[in-house]
This record gives sequence, C-alpha cells and structure tokens, in this order.
Amino acid sequence: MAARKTPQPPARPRWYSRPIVWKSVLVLFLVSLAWLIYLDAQVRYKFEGKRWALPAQVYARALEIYDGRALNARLLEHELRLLHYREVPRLTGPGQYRRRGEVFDIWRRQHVLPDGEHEDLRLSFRLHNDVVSALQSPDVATTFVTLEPFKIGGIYPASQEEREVLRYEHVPQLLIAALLATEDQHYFEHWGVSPVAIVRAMWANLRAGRVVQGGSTLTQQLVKNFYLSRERSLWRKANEAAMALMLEAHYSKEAILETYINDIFLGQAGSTAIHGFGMASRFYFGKTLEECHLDELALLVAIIKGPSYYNPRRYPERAKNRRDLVLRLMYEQGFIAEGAYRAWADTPLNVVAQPQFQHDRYPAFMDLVKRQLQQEYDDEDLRNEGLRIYTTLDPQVQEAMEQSARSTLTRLKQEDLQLGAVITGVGTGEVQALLGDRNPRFQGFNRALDASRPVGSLIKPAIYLRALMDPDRYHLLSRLQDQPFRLEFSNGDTWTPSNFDGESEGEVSLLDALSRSLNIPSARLGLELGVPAVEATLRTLGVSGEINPYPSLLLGAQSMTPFEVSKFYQTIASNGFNMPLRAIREVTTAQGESLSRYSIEIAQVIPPEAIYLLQHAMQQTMRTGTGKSAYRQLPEALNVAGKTGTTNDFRDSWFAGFSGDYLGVVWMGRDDNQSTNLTGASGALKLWTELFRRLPQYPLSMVKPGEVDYVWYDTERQVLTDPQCRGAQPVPVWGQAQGIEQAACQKGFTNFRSWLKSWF
Amino acid sequence: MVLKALVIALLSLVMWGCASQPEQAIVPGVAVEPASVDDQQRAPRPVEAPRMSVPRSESEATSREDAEPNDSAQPPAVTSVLDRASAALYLQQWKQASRYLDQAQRMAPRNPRVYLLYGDYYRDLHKWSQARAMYQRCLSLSHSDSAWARQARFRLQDLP
Repeated sequence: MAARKTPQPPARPRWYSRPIVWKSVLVLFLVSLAWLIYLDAQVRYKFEGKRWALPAQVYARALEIYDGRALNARLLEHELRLLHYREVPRLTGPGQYRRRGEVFDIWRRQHVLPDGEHEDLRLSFRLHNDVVSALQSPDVATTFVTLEPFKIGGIYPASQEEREVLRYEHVPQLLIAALLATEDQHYFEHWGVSPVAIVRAMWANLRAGRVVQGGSTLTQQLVKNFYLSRERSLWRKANEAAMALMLEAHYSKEAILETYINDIFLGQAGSTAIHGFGMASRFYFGKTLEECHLDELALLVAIIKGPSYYNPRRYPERAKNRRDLVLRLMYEQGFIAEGAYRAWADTPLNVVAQPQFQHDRYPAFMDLVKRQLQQEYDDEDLRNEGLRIYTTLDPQVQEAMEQSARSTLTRLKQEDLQLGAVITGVGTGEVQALLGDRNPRFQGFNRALDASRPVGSLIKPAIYLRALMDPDRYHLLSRLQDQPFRLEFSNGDTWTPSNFDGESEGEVSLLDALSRSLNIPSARLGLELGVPAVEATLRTLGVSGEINPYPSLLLGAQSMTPFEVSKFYQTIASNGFNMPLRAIREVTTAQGESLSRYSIEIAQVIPPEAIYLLQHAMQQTMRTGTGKSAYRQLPEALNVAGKTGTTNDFRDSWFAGFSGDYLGVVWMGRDDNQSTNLTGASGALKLWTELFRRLPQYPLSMVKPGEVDYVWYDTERQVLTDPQCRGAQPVPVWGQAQGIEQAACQKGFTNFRSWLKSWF
Repeated sequence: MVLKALVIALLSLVMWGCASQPEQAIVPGVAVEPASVDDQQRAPRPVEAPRMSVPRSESEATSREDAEPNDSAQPPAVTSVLDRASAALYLQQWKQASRYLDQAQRMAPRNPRVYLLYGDYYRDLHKWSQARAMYQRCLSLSHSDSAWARQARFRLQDLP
C-alpha cells in the first residue's frame, strides 16, 4: 500500500527567487548602468573637449639680429640671461652662448612666432661699436635671425594655473622611463587598474602599519586629478577605478600619458600653480623639457609625490634623495646603465635660483597690453583659450630704462619722488618700454598711463608749430616781443606771464624763444595765433583728452599723462605723421593661427617743412637751450631734439626728446603734488640722458624738404649775412626769411672752411 | 679782397683741371644747404665716446641711394626682406607681404622704399587713404630729386 502522502506545505520560494529581490537587483543594475553611462560621458566629454583653461601667453618682441643692427653687448647679455641662456666655453646644444670679446656664438632654441616655427640654430656675429656685423650660421645661409621672445607674463584663469602643453612625441623618452619606473611599472600592460599593484600596496601597508605605498596606476592618478575631487572615500575610489577602465577602453596609452604629463601639479609660483612637465622644466631649470638632462628629468618625476614637500628650492636635500631614488629605480628596472646612474646621482641639483616664471616683471607694460586687448577680446577668451600675444616690449630698452631710473633717483635723493616714463620707436609707434612707478615691479597706480599732470613748457612746440605752418607770416627768425604784459579777462581775472628767470630781453627770435623756453614771447605768440588755433594743433598732433580753452594753456596749464605726451611728440618725431602707439604686434591662437595683426597706420597731419623747422629748433634746445646739459653725456652726433617742461613751484619735471630711433617721455613729481625743487632739466632730463646714453641707436637725421632752404644768420646783429662771417649760423627757412635785414660781414670772413667751400 | 685774390690764385694753380663746377652761389633765401649743415645732418660717423657709440646711420645709405634706386648701401637683411615683400606683392600674397613690410619697417623705419612698397600694398588692396599716406611718407624721407621720390609722386598722381 502506498504510503499516503501527507500534504506538504507549499515550498517557500528561495530568497533569491523573490520578486522583490529580482526587482531590487534590476533597479540596482539599471542605476549602476545609468551611473556608468554618466561616468563614461564625463570621461569622454572632458577628455575630448577643452581639457584645461589655458592662460593667454604674453611675449616681448623677438630680438631680430642682422648686419647693421644697433645692439649693445651688455644689454644683449641681459636678454640672454632673461631667456636662461647659459654662457659656456663650447656650444653643445640649444640655450647656450659663448662670448669671445666682440664675437658672440649663440645656439638659439627652437621657437614659434606668428610667421611659423623656427628651428634651433647656431649663429655667430660680431658686435663692434654697438653694431652687428658678420652674422653667419653654420646651419643655414642667412642674413637675418630671430631669438625666441621672452615671455613677460600671462593673463590667467580664475584657477590660476600655468601650463605649457606638450605633444607626446615631444616628450623625452627618459622622462617616460622615469615616470614608469617610479609611478607605474606595468603601465603599458594593465587596463587602467592593476590588481597586482593594489595587493602589493596593501601588503606593504599592512606590514608597515601605515600607508607607505600606493596602488594607483598612472591612469587612476590622472582620473583623480583630472575628474574627481580630493575627497578620500571608497565611493570616490570606486569611481576612480571605473573611470580609469573607461579611459583605457576609449583612448590609447600614449594619449592618456600625454594628458597626465600636461596635467600633473608640480609646483607653486606665488598664487599660480605650475602644472605639467613642460612648464615645470622652465620653472625649475629655466629651459625646455627637451633640453633637460637625465638628473633634471628625474627630479621632476621625484617632485610628483609632493611638490611642496620635495620643493628643491626649499628642501634641496630631501629633493635630491628622492631624485636619486628615481634614478636608482630607473637603473634597477633596466632603463639606464649602472654607470649613468652613478654619474647622475653624483650631480648636484641644477635648479635655477630665480624662476623664469615672472609674470609680474613688467607690470606697467602688462597693464597697457591688457587695456589694449580688452578693447577687442573677451576676458574669458583671454583667460582660457591659450592665446599668444606678441607685444612690442623691448626687454633691452626696458632694462636700460630701469637702470637709468634707479641711478637717477639715487642721485636725486628724494624718497617721495615718483616717475612715469614711456619709450617708443620713432617712425614705428611701438611702445618699447614703460615705467609706472619708481619701483619697476610695483603693481598699482600706473603713472605712465594714469598720472595726468600739467605739462608746462612741453606744450610750446605746438604753439611754434602752429606759427611755422604759416610760412607767409612766421619763420624761425621772426622777431617776437619779450616784454611783460598783462591780460585782463571779462570776469576781472588777470594773467601776467613771466620768464623763468624773471628777466625779459625786449625782442627775441622765434628760434631763441623756443630753444630757451621763454614764457613771455611764447604766450604772446600763442595769443597772436589764438588759443583755439593752438588747441586745434594739439588735436592734430594726437592729443585726444580735454584741452584747456584758456590762455593759460599757452604756458602748459594742461594736464596730460606721459602716454598722451608720447602720442603728441610721436607725431613731431615722425616728421608730422600721426600714428597710434601700439603695444601689441599680433595675437594668435594657441595653435598659431593669426587672430589680429596690428600693422602701422599713418596719416600725414603736418606739412614736412613745418616739422623740419620745429625739429631744428628742438635740436637747438638741446645744443644751446634748456636741454644742453644732455650733451655732457651724449655724443653730439646723436643730434637729439627735445623739450623740457617745468610747472609752478617745481611740482612737475618733464622732458620729451628723441633721436633717430627712440622717443622718450619722462615725468617726475610727487603723488601729493608738493614741490620737487626740480626743473625739467634737473630732473626728468637727467633720467632721459642717462637712458639715451645706454641705448645703442642711430642719430636723428632729417631729410630736408625741397621747399626748405638754409640762410646764414648773425645772431649777435640779428641779420642775414654770408656764411664766412663771424658768428654766422645756418638756419632753415620755408620760403623767405621775411622781415630780416641782409648785411655784409662786419670784419671780413672768419669762417674759412665755409668760405672755401663756397668757392668749390 | 687782396687776401681773397691771393688764395684764389694759389688754389687755382693747385686745382687746375680738376676743380668741379662750383655750386650755386650762396644767396640768402635761395635753395642752398650749407656745407656745415650737410655734414651735421648726415653725421652718421661713429663717435669717439668712451661709453656710447652712434652706429652708422641708415640715413647715410638712404641719401646715397637717392642717386640710384638700389639698395646696395642698405644692410643686406633689409634689402632681402624688401625683395621678399616685393615678390609677395607681385604674387598677391597679401598676408606675407604685410608681414615682410612690417618687419622691414621695424628694421629700417627711415627707408623710403619701405613706404613705397607699403603704398603699393595698400593701393592694391584699394585702401586709398593709407596708400596716399605711405607714399607721402616715402616722399618725406627722400630727397626731392631722388628716384624714390619720383616714383612716389607718380603713384600719388595715379591714386583715385
């Protein structure tokens, strides 16, 4: 008989077969899947998009070397030092130079300019009497060579990160070897995560009782820095591992390593973080990564573990020990031979004392560059797109100006004396140097651009120019009254100009009045022409600000900044051609595509004949007038032209003057507007002279317009005379010297040379 | 007068047969540039100054080349850059031409040929006012009877 089956209670479904479990698993799976899809999108979006906010890089002008160029050896060496060229007894690679007396041998570095890439090149030339000659290169036949431009700063993103992005193929193989040996031996074998490394690290940490080893691969390190926060949690670690796997699935090992090499944090320069090996090599060694030796590459890799802890400038011994460990690991893993390891481990750290990374070096000029850029570019683009800004700054001229300012201020011994100065290229309008404070590194009120101060007698050339533009009425020998007068206004105010020395001579020539900066004849002439006419001339010369419409304008009661004065005098120095002052030559993208070029733009606004006469009078100012002290230091053949300016109670000391190459405008004064006890000649002119003494340059050489002729003038008798007469001076005249009498020599001829020449 | 006559007689003997035609007599108000001024204006000679020298002025070259429209007296680099600019203009490679001209202008800002070519560049781009200004600049840097000045005047006449 069959056993009777007792009814069994229905079998309880196993836990995993319960719907709730399946549903939960399904939900979890879907959530995880969504999360992974999200992570994958994150990984790809950032890796394929713009990886970093790249600051705009601002460069000085690239030094152009060619036969006939004016160049001073000391200033050249200054620039080579700025560029971290090393003086060596024998050139072995780029970034080195050798000086043998007048001969320079330079191995310039490869660099990029707006016109393309320039390969590294050996060159040699002679510098005799401040002029380049015998330029040659064993590498190419050339008449013209540029050096790489000095980077003068950057316009930084909010993150304040600085980096130089490198392509993988430009990364030295030894750096990659050092990285693999130290950070991730199996980088080219794992899939982004290395279980072996994790287990090994756990074992090492357990044995040590603390964290002594990390198990992260290079890919994980990149994910951590590039995508994730610094939070330490299992959740973040899981994300890191997942993203590392995704990164490896999508991209090549080389692409990931390239990103790592450009992203890793390697130091701090003030408020700016140094990222990537490209920038770090410049920051620590003052050279490109390709120029670094093995010990230097090893040090860079050593720093990864703790840029602050292993800072080679602050903790050289600590950094050296770590560097030697990197070298040892490289040797143990077969990347370098034992001999190389021992040799390089013996070398001291080769870190440069001052980082090349000095974006505060020329704050006044950078201020000008930013102002000009902001007229055309968005702030965001400037801070993030890695634009390359090629400026007009000449580091050699800037250095000469800073040296001159230092020595002049030391001699003047006035603690509160401030200054603003602008140097531009005559005929180019390029701003080559700028000082906004007695301390060239001061990042604050920029007096060159913003200190608007009365210009005093600097205004006078505009009055005389207005007169000389009317050759039927005025010429340089026209007689002007030098007798005190009083001008009464309708409101009862009076104006009584007087000469600087309180004297008056009755009558003087226009030439004399300007060269000696006499106030009374200048005011009389200005009134004769009319204040609106002088105002119009100032506008023509390039003054754009508000102009004082009253007679006091004629004696310089007109405030201008040194930069505005430069615009005004630039037109005079450039033979009556108006040209905007430029601080930027070109802007390109990070890839070198040109975005804006700033070519010269000119407009003839003054007849060349009138300018020729004015320049002659301003040369006379320097030879016999208020600027004559300059020739105690300058060679006479420089033929400089200029004008001093002093304001009431010696509050402002001005000088504006030019040679064939440079126009310099200097203001000195105090911020509290108190007296400096300096005239234009005893203050600003001193600095100007000191600067022009240091600069190699060509003299002012004027081409006489066809309509201008020379006459001989006897200054004592105030008559036109013959060239051979005693005291006869040549004076240019546009048209006829009307109103001046002709007379024979008083006592025969004395100017034998002129007389003799007149016969042949 | 006696002294003058004596010197003339002496020099006549010495210079017989080799004296050039005398220049125009110096009369006030008539177009003659005094010799001393001429020396002074051209003064490109190196100066015997211990601390600073004045390099040979390119204007010396400019005034020499006024006689002949060639660049033989210019630094070869300037001539080379200007030749490239000229070629780029001919080939209508405007960007290159502009780059070369900017470079030449920085190297030799008082060389009239730079502005003549700049004028051609702007003329070819139909930027008449800039072309005019450049030709005027060329004129202002050339002696009035020089080849550069003549070419600039011709081109100015042709501008619309």
